[in-house]
Amino acid sequence: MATEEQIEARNDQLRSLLAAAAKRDAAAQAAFAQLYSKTSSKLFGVALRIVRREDWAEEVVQECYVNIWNHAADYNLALSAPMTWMTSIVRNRSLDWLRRPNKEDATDNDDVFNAVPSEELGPLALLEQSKDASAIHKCMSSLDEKQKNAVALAFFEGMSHTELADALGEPLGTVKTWVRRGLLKLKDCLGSDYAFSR
Amino acid sequence: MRFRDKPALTERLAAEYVLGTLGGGARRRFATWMRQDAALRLTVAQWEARLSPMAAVVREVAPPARVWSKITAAIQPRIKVQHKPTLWESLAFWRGLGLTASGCAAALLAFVAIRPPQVVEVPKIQIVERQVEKVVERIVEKEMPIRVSDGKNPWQPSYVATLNDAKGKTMLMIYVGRNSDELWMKYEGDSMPKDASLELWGIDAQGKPKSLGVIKTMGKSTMKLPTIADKEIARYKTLAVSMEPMGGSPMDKPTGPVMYKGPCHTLW
Repeated sequence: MATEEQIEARNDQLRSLLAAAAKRDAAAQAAFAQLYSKTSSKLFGVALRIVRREDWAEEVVQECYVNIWNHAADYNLALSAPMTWMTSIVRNRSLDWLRRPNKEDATDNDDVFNAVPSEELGPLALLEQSKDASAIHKCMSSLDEKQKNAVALAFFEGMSHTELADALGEPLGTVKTWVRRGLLKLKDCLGSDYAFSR
Repeated sequence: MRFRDKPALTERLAAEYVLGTLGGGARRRFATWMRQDAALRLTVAQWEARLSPMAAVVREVAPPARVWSKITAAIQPRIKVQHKPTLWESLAFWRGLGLTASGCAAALLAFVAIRPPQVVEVPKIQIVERQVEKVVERIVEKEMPIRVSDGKNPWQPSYVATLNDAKGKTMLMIYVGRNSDELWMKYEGDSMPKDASLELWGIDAQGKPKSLGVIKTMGKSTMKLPTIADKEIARYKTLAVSMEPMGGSPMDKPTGPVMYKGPCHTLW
């Protein structure tokens, strides 16, 4: 897993690609293509994990990159590091997609159903096998198992309170409490006045 | 509901919005409030900064190439190839030449003296536009060999193009003998993403593109034309290169951004 320096170097590079893309010349398109090649596998992975259907994840990621292109010039106004900014765009779009009214179920159509492969690690295993030293992973391990599980399922699989209650077989109120306490602990652990890494 | 009066609730909803646990209606209401409230956006941005590094452990999955081609189609819905005046159309050129007969098709731009046949001498450049000059220099430096397909004809006409990026930097040089179906090129641009190809297009006077094929993005290479240059390249005013999904455009026109382009000159 990446060290702090590697993450910073990568963010610097993504920042300058976003700045170049914001210029809107032919070189901007080349910079955007580079940005895409450096980030699309990660962001597609994030979207696929949440929406759980490849055709949906494709649509989400496509819309997000068009948005990123359209708002590249606004990135300077954003407070976050570039990868945080782009990951949030993709997570939000994926969640909106899942939460949209009248959505068909991911399993409704078997022809195009292409769920995350079964050998895919569950969210807890995903966190545990990670050697990532970032603060969030240290803080996640400070949560108790139930809180950690609820927060990880919500973050990685995009589960709402109701879906968490179904998945964990617990009353809605109990699950809401786990999530709320988990998030409070994370905030204590990470610091309430969170410093943005730009 | 007044958020500003309830900091603990604001904080919790922001956290749950970012985490994703808010249901459909609550999520949409929260997004609406967020658009109206800068302080709320800041709270959300802080939670994004806290939680999003968790995504680092998600397994990377390369999206299929069609995703990129749809993105490029959306961000540049119409491919516009600016028609730069060719050398022949350029008034400055004809003035510079001191000619009044602008329709003189046999104007001597440069000539290649062949002596004896099949041995290529240094082309003696009399008048060339700087762009053409660059290619001819490379020919002289033997970076791009001259093919003599017709030894009987000492005047070996050919087609030359330098394709530039938006800043005017030459990225691709192209040369082809008039009776040859083998196009020579030297690529000096950047390397491409591994799921993308560069495709060469001939653009005729009506602005209609025709694919000449996917080019190699490393140094010198050759490409077979569908027919000899006099029948193929002679039709094109402009050559252009677009970025396409791996293997080239799925349609009979460019779908990606035009990376480089330049007028196609007839070099006598």
